[in-house]
Amino acid sequence: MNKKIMLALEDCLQSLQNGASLEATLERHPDLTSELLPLLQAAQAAQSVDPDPVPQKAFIAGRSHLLAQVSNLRRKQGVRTGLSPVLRFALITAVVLAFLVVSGSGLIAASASSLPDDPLYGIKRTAEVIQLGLTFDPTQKDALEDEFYQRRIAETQSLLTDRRAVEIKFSGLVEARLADGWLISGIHVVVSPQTEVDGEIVPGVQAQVEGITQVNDTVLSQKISLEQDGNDGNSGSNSSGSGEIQATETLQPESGETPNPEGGSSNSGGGSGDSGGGGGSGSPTESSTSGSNGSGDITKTPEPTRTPEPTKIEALTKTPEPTKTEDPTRTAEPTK
Amino acid sequence: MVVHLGTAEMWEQLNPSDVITDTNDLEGLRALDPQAFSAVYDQYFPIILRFIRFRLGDENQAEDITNDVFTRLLEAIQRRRGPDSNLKAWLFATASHAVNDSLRKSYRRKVELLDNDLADPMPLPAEIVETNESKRAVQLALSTLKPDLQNVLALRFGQGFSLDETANLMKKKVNHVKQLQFRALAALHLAMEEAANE
Repeated sequence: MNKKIMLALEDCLQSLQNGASLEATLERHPDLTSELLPLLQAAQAAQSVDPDPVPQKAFIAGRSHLLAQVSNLRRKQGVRTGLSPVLRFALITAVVLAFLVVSGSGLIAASASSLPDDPLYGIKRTAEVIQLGLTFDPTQKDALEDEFYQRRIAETQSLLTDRRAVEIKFSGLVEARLADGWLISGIHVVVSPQTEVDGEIVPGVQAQVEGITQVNDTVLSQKISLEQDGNDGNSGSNSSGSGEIQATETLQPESGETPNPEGGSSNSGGGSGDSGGGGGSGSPTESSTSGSNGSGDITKTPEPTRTPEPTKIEALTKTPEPTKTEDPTRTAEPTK
Repeated sequence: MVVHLGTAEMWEQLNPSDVITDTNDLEGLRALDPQAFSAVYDQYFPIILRFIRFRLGDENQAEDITNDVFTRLLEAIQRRRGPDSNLKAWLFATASHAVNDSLRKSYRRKVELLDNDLADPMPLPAEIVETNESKRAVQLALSTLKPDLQNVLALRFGQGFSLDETANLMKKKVNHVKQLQFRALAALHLAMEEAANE
């Protein structure tokens, strides 16, 4: 008898699941109606307990929390995102040979579009180091460093577009404050209680961000390092001889215009080995003379990597001051 | 009212798992690959949250415990005690343990909160009050059932899993799940009747 009821119960549950009414379902087993009715009522009650959808906010917050924990653990355990020193050395040797022999073709060319966490990414970064090492003209070297610096930002944006969760490091200009973080070079960087912030985050300064890309088009930051001496107006005084770019430019944001994500600030070269794009010195919002190598000849025109959404931006609050240098070398104009 | 707080052995009995998790997932988790954790989280967070919410009936608490489940996953992998093959069953088992732990720790406090909820000074529309009270009555009746009965109801009627899926996750045979389901529905109906007569 019990087995018969259980079979009938399963049949009735299936019927209910297919959309039949309770009455119609019970008619399938008229001899067991009194036994089945309370069970089916209980099943319907159980189904009514949790009809609510999963809240998106909790979903995203939980993922950020978990990924922050994973990242912390990786750092504690010394999990390397790149290659081991031995492998790196071997790779450098191999790439030098490859570079000299095929001059940028083949493997290196194949790695050009790779992203952090891709198998060929180590080759791409190592090739950048070698390319820098083999470039002796200071102007060309600066241009290369700036190109690599932009690559780190573009890679981060590609990872966000691909909705991949990968550890990244890039340097960029703090453009605006957002509800849960900052817009840095067009990238929405979320700051959590676990984020280690070295310095004061204010719009206009150069920041180096370490974190994880998230599928919701944000970077969950683990560490943000700010340039300490970027806004003193004496831009020619720092990083002398460091080989860093000392860009001279004036940002003149106007109402309704989008701040230039690049900001033209100095950059120590995103492609330099493990640095992953160290932040440069110098002020992105003020004029500065070229102090690093005396050439003062930076001819590149910065291009925006992404246009920030105006509705999310509180606006770049720093007002640029007019340049009074004798040798203005570059003027960056905001994107329109 | 007797609230059953839990036995753990139901999740650890019987069959080895039939559902084999993608080994890439597990390898990725063991390598502490953020991509793997993100994928596992995206796949399992919703169903684990709903399972826990079914058991507890409290949204905030359910979210906290769901996050705790994923933290336990990370810790277990760190200690090399994570899931061997059936990640989904491991997560549900851990969720069940976490719910039982939480109930054990906070049962007294929870009753006080429920009492306070009843005295909510902000009046709600009549329909919502009725729905909420109805859900709360079922929730209270559910909480009097043994954990394995609660779990089978959560999986079958909260999640809508099939008998086979439920058997897999509970590591039981399908016939055993049928019996559990039968007993669970009978016990729930009885508990609701008793509550209505009080």
